[in-house]
Amino acid sequence: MSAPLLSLESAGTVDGTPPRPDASAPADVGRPDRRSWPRRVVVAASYLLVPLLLLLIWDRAVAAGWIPSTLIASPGQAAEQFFTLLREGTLADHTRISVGRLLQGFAIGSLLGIIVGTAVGTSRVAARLVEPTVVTLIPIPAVAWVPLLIVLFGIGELSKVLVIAIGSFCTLFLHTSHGVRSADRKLIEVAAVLEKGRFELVRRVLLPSALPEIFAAMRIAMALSWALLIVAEVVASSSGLGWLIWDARNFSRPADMIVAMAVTGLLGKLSDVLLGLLAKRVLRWRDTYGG
Amino acid sequence: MTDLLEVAIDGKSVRVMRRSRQILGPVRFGVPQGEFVSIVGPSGCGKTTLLRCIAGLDREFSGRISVGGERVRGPGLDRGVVFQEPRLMPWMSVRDNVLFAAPERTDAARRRVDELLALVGLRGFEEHWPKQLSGGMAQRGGLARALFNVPRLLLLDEPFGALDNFTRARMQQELLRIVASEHLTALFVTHDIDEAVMLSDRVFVMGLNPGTIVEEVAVDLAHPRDRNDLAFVALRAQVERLLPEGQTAVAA
Amino acid sequence: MHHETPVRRPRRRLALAPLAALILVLAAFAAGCGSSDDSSATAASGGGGSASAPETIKVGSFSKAVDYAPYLIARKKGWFEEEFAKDNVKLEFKEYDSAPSITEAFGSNRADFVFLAEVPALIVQAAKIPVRVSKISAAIPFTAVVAPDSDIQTPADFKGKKIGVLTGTGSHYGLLKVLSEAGLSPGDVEIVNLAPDDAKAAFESGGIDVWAVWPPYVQQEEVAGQGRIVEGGDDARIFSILAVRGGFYDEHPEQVERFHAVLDRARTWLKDNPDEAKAIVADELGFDKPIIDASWAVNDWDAPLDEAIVSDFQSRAEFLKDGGFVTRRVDVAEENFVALPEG
Repeated sequence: MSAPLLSLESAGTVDGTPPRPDASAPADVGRPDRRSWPRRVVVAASYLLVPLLLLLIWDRAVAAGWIPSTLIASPGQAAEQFFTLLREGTLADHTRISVGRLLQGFAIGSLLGIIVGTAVGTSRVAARLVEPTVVTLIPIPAVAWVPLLIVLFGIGELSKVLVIAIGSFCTLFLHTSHGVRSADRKLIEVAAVLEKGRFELVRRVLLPSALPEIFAAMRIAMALSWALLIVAEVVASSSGLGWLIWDARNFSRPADMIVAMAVTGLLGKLSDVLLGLLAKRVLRWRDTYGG
Repeated sequence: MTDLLEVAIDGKSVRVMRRSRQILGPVRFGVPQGEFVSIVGPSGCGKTTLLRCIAGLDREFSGRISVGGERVRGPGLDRGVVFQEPRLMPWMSVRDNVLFAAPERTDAARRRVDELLALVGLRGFEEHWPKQLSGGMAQRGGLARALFNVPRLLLLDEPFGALDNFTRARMQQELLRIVASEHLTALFVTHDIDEAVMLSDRVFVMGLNPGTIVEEVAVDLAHPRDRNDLAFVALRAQVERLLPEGQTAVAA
Repeated sequence: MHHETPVRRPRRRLALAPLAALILVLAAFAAGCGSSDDSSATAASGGGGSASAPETIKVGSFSKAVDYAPYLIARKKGWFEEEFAKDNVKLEFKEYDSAPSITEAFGSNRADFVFLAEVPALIVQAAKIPVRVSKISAAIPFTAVVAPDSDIQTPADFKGKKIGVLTGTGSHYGLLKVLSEAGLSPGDVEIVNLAPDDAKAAFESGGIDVWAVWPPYVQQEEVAGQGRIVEGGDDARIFSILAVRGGFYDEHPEQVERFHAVLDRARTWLKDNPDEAKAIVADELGFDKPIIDASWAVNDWDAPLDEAIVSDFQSRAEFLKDGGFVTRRVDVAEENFVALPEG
């Protein structure tokens, strides 16, 4: 029975099926081959079906007068206005300003939320000091902060960025502290047995363990940030996509309004997709059902 | 010469729905340096609890446990633990998981990691994610990690349960070799009597309700041991007689 | 650990369903797409003739302003109810805080008479929702407040400043007019959209340098020592008017007449009893009496609704279109935007 060391190396194959080096593909159990051409066309069709149906209903509704064309423009008019605004450069200007505010607010809020959430989740002292206050303030909708922020910080960029930051902070704080507290006790015991200090425990066990939830929270926070951006830009602004939506509504320029809304929606979707891709890369170690 | 491990537990109870249940009764024993001791018993007898108390992960008991003369107050590097589950960090590669045991990630540490991985038969899988390993392979990774710091006392909780016969036999031999060459002391929990007799110098038999050491069986056979040997078979039968009927696992 | 289960063959019929449905949708779209015309269905039906009296008359006003005085007085004294009870017509009164809500109310027939400035009314008309301007409550000059110690003396000094104004109002138009008269373009200043409540906070905390707004808001700051008033010239006058929903005007001319009669009564009474009138306005708007006292003088209660108004409104309509605010150039005369009184 004293087999040479080398034979143990092949032990991997004796247990059962050898593991695939690239096991990050989803368990495509029972699904037909995705790569055939007819299949691809059908898949594309299913994605497009509902949006096109909605566009059709919208177009018919405006043409038939079910919706007053003074308040809502038809898809055709909106498309036309989109190119006009694009050509004039207005769209680019407002988009750039809005995206800038959004990214600043999202970044600041998320970062702070993760830091404070980690502190509260890992330290009882921090939790006792910080948590009661934060938890009481979180239910206040971020939009309710707008008047106070305007009084404190004026009507410039800062108050808008702060509204967004508050929204992101609340989301990330909640999910980070929860994610950290949900870390598997079994893994924490491993760290304890290896005499890992608190800092290393947080950095190499608790935070990575909370990463899936943190990424999920970031996507939620991103969607929330877009909503808050628009609201903040309606109240006291002279630029941005939200301002454009309000101004268009104010002066009954329905095509402009639709264009601004559509651009906002598309950018929102784009930012979500980007976050999703980032999450997929960072979290590629996960062993979960892909849907 | 004092024993490396001295266990003097008076008892441990837990509260379950307003009622007190005694998990462990009085447990007293000593293990000298270099000895390999197995603890066998039916499920629920508290052998894992006992191991956790020695590891320092469970401090809710009355009594005293000391290692090397010093009282155990919590987990430590001097007591390496191989758990029942692999407990690898999912976000670290196999290599990084073993490297996690290193106080500092030096080049020497990295070399040692690779050696250990080769030792447990995981060479070629260093960069894999834990999710890509079979249960047995992951468990071997956990063993490599526990061995990194050459702990004076190695505590193992049914570490080879998930392995097939062939691999388990090889791992048992590897374990014996490492323990011998590094002069480790080992405390090995298992429900497999064959395994206990194969590996140990002494086998402690634990009973249920409350958990106590019912009997000690000394195993004086020379290594390598043959499970078909008469003396082996006799010892095995002796141990089995001590266990409650129908509550043991037959050698798998 | 990762075993393969046998692959199932896809059921072909189900897989093709989305594709078939998509083709159908595209076909329907293509068929209908060419004919998407702008049929605004809110044009008034047929002319004249007294239709039977409506059950309820819905009256509204845009924000709070001293120049609504005739309306406020008549409402407080119950003269509307007196007049319309003869036909068992009820009245509903409402305050709007944004121009779009007024546009939408007119557009969905949820408002019949609204008191507002001429600019918001033009915006409604430009959106192809017909309204008729049938009365002028008062004409006022363009006004703005600046900090008492500010170095701003005239609109020319607005250059480079932050100006708060509710966009789409007479004040907004007035602001743009005084800027152009001072040789400034909108790019020379920063115009921030702020409703009166938000603007008040911003102005008092120094967030904006200039607050372009109408009485009593400007006087409120002045009386409190928080601001100094800057006025614009004659060309930047603002008209506080009554706008009647086009459909209502055509279907119920006699109700419109009676409504006018009530307002005329109120205007006469207002000039004969100024002090009491101010008290009522103060009460209805929720401002202190001294503020209303200070706001009274700038209102020209006798501004006539005549041909000059028609051409004045036309130039405003052009301004709105050329400035890119609205998408349509209103033809004031052609569309009967102004309903001149007979005789």
